[in-house]
Amino acid sequence: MSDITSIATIILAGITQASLQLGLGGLILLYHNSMGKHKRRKTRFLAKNYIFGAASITFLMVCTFCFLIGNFFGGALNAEWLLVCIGIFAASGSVMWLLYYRRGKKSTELWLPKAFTRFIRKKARETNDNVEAFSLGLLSSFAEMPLSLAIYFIVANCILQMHNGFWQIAAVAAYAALTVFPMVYLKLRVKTGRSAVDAQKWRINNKAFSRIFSGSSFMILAVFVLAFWVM
Amino acid sequence: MARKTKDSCYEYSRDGIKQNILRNARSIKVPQGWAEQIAERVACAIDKWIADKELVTEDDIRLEMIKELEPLNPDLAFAYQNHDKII
Repeated sequence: MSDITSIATIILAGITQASLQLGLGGLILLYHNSMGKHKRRKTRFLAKNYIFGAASITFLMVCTFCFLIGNFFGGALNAEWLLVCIGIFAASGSVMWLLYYRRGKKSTELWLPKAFTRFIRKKARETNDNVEAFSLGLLSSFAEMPLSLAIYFIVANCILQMHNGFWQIAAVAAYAALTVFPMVYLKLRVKTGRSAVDAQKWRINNKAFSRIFSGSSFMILAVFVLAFWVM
Repeated sequence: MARKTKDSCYEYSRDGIKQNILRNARSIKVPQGWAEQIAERVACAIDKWIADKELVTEDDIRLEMIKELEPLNPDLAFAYQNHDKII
């Protein structure tokens, strides 16, 4: 498989993972709570650490899956495992289209256990230092695991097919950066005068768009992997 | 006057309401002077509303605050409406 195909798959997978909403929602909560309590400089640092935490867990998860594929799958996923991943993508896409958000016009609540969302809300409210913000970023990204697990598998598989060691590391870093792009964009918007409420209004007004975008990304990824990696 | 939450009951505090509004106003970048005026007006309105009640829940107070905030600053009202609906 050529490096171009690997890079294209990684970019598509990155866009798909970036469209998940839990990390972004956690950052909006953190911004809203922190800006009321702290000076802007401190809020900026908390947001930076949150994003860094989310990127770090993605980086580490991809590295872990590279290790697993390298050691337990002989360096590349075979067609059966790729088909399993494709099936998971198709199921995730359907879940995104139908069930990702809870019902209710003026809310962006996700289908997550109530206790868990309460925990993230509480942590976002109480986060006062950089380490807490970093671990909140880790946690919120980690919580997306049921949807991102198969993506990690595919990305790790693509990275292992690259021929140059340096490019492999660069690809993991680029993938991690791509997945936190919406958070970085939110940070830039807040820096240029917008507030967390503006971001939340955008999310509510464009809820259908983000649901269709996420679901379609999963479906396109499934078709892409099927076409370029299985057939 | 007592404010009742899920598992605790405590005294209503006008100052608590004002601080809460100021904190939320700061987070959506409402200018300080305007935020203080809003907080004062809403706290007065909540005082009047709560005067003849013995026991209210936090949700009741929040709904009343949203009603008062809506004409003063819709963004602030939105923040209260959606505080638990982000994720």
